[in-house]
Amino acid sequence: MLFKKPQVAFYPFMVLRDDYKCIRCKSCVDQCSFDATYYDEDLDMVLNRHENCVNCKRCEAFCPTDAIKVIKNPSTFHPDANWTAEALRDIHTQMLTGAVILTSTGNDKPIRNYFDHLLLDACQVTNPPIDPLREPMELKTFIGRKSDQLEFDEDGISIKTTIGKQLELEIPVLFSAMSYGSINLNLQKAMARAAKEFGTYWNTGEGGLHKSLREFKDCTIVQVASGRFGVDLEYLETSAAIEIKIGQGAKPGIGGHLPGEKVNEGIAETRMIPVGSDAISPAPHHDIYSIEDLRQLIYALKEATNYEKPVFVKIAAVHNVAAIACGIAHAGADAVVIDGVRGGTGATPKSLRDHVGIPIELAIAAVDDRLRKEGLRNEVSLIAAGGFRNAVDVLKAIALGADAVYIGTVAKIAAGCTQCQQCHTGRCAWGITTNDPKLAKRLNPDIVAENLYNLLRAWAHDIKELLGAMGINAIESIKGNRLRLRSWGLTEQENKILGVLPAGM
Amino acid sequence: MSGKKRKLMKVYPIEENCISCRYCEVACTMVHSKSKDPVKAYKLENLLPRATVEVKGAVSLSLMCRHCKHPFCFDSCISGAIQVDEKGQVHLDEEKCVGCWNCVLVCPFGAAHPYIREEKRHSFKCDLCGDRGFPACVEACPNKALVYDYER
Amino acid sequence: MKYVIVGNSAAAVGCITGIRKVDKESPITVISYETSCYSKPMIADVLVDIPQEKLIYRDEKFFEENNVELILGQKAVKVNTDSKAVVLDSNELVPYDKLLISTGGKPFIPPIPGIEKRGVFTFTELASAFAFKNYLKEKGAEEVVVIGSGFIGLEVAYFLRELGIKVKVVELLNRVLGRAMDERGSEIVESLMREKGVEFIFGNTVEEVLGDKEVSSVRLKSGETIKADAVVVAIGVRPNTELAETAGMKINQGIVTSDRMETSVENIYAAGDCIECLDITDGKRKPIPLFPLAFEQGFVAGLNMAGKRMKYLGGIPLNSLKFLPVPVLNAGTVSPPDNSYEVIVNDQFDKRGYYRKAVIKDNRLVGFVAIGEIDRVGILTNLIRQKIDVSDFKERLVSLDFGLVDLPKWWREEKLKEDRTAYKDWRAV
Repeated sequence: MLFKKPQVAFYPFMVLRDDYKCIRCKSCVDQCSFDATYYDEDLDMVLNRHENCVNCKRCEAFCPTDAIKVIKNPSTFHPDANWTAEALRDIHTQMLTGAVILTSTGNDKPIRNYFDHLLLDACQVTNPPIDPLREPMELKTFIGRKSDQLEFDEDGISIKTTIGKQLELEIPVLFSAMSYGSINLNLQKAMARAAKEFGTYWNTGEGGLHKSLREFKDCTIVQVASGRFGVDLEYLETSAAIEIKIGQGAKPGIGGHLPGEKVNEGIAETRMIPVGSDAISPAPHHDIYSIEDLRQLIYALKEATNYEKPVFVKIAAVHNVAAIACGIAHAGADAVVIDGVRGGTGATPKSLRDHVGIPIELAIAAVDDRLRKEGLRNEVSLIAAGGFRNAVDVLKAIALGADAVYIGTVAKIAAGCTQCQQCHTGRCAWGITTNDPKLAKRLNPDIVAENLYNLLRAWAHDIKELLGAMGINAIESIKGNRLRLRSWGLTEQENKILGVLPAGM
Repeated sequence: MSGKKRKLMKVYPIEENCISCRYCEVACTMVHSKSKDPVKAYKLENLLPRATVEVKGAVSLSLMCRHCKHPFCFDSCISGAIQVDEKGQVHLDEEKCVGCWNCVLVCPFGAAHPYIREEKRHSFKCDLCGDRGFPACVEACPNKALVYDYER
Repeated sequence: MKYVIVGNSAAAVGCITGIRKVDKESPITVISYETSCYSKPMIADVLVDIPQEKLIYRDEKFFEENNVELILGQKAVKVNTDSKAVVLDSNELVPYDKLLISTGGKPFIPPIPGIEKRGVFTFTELASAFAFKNYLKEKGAEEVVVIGSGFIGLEVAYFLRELGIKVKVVELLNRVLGRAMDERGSEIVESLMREKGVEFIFGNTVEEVLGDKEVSSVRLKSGETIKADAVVVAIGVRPNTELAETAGMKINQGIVTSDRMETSVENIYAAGDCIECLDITDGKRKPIPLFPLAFEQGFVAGLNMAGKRMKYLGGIPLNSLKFLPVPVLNAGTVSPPDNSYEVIVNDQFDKRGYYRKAVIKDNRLVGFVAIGEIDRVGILTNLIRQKIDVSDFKERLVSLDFGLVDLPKWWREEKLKEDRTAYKDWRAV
């Protein structure tokens, strides 16, 4: 056996092949973007370089004869609860590279998922449930600043109060910020189409808005981040709302770095930078060192767009998130976006992804509480982000106090993502987080737009069924209604933070 | 030739959507087999696909008989195995074919293929899944890279 | 309108097809001294007892469906241009409005003493193939000499080996398929033939056919005498212009035609082995006696005869050795005559059983050889036909996975998306 470096010798995944079933169509060879599969002409066999396999399962999915299974390498390190395989592999990697370990997607550690510890209420006898298929059920949600109180005309019926521009959502779910560069145009196109069709919004992320997507203006939220990529007046105007990105759940406190080799012509044009140059988003906005500075930026953007666009501010859920959210409300934002510890990313140091930030459930509860206490809750909408998996998570978040929810990982999964955590390599075999033209064309926006629309439709059905069971006919009525939640298996302190009673009480 | 639109439906590849997964090839081989099983079709029946997936960097496409308005294969066929029906579909009778490879030599798309085995020698090509009603490759394509459409 | 076609092979069938694209009604008459519409390239297969029905190129149904009257077994001996009629050997007159002469080729028989003896055969007609087969049986022939190592010569030699007969091929040049194939290709074909047991005598020629009335041996130029129970002369065909001459039309090596396949005489068209055809690869007009070309010329003649103006694209010399277990194909110029040509070779014959070669001039493909692996070489033929600039993908021409993805995008747009595949769409770009 020839000497191999440890991370080559001790690979985590293996490609199992049933050679009888293999018809040498070589589909797997072509589909593998990590060079883990090859065809040997002399042997007339398809073979694998297991050490390159990332368990993206592209080959498995595309094998027409079901001859492939990607499995965990059964050969393990000595079982040890502290010195896990991951710990050892990370050491192997860092001793060779001398660098931080880059990864992507969201936190994969078993941090308690509070959604799984929350239970919803239902009606029995004393209050009737509602059948959503027979009776109207309202999911419509408005995002934006609401006035302190309503004033009426002399007739006592017509409302005199005027309020600022609101975003009108047919479902309290929006597609979260994923930039052109971190993902490709095809997925952005698919999200934009699905959002437009369903009546919700998608978010450009910090990479600017490609000209081919300008037609989706009315369902687009444009982001202004520390790198200010692609930001000009036209960009700001081609939107339904503007989002200032301060932080991101998967990498709180750091910026972003799109390596120059990924900056192709389309990305360069959209980000307004030269082809091949690194796109670096600094950790801070260099013009924001205080709430007052933030207020200046918010109002600069409002001023530039004639006060026609709501301005959101997005932060990562960190320890004192509630206080920061209040500051943002004071600064004049129309919505606060909080991204929890399970939020995804296209690239982040592993140490930050896995160990910085707090779960979104706790953050929602804390922020909602604090905003209410400060009398600010009506001034800002609260949008939660970071690891929402299904309609039930969405509903629980709203019951905890969120107005709406951003989904990013879900959209990627609907486009084929298998969560293999290789976004940062730009080699995504499913054509999602890559701009390699060969790979990017694997994501057909026509198909994915349809999938995303279906998904939103399914979630809307789900939410309506759950609301119906609770005897509620409008999503507004569950918002912050923590009385309809119970917890199980949580400590008293956790229940207190979440503002929920334990099941049975 | 007469300039009139023919009522022929054929398979059109869309290279912008092709992801070179070769489902078209395998589906083709499978439906043309006796066993209707992809493994047996390749390994026991020794069949070959009538669609060819070509890949060059980011460009890929699936290519099958174009049923040309002027089929050179028909001109070149010495056995009369290749015939054109009134709709314009080009048929290749594998039993009648004598394996002279003229069609292979003249097809501008490389869509007539040679089948060369001890026991059998003949050309073969896309038959638009005649007896099936709908081309299997189009059905199998996961990325809408093949469409079944009226002749343009 | 009354169409008359003399000859009943590829060009005639092509002509019928062409006429019927435009004119579904007017009567067509086909005159042929032969008795059926069989496939000329298949006649050597008679030696290995190919089933009779496989020889048939177009059956009676075809002629019925196309409203074609057949006058078979009668020879057209003269064209009377004044009265616009074809005179048959029975003195019967067949009047025409438009006439196609597709009288094919005739075997070239060198002036060798004794060549007229019984037992000397040529191979351009079904009847002579049957006669040869019968003669072999009658004589219990054990050894045959084939003069010429062209396609027909090699095919006959190969099939004779199938019958267990010893064969010696006498060839003037020092390799097989001299003019049609490149040196390496010849070498491979020769080795395949030798594996089959065919013997070759190169750089030599038959000076005299010996025997009483029947062949018994041949004397070579080298002085040697070799036994021959029969002799096959296969050193090429020449245009058969006998009938054309009676019409007083312009004839060079073959009948001279315009781009629309018209001869110099009004209302008379010509197609097939009897004409001089434009060779796309060198722009010269010469007889290229090949089946696909004959069909296409006939087709174009038919369109024009029926009033649809269409220019012939020109022909490419193409060959396929259909009898060998290993397929051997070539097209165009395969042996560059001077150093203005570029040659790209991919010779894996010894290791992987295939050989590919491309010949390029002025960034245009002008010829290729494909042995062993032949799938998709038609794309190359079309590059010759359409004179597409290959400078961007020269090296790829000889690779087995060469395909349409190597071609310029505009070509794929035009052919795949826009479906421009009518005859006129294949002109040089």
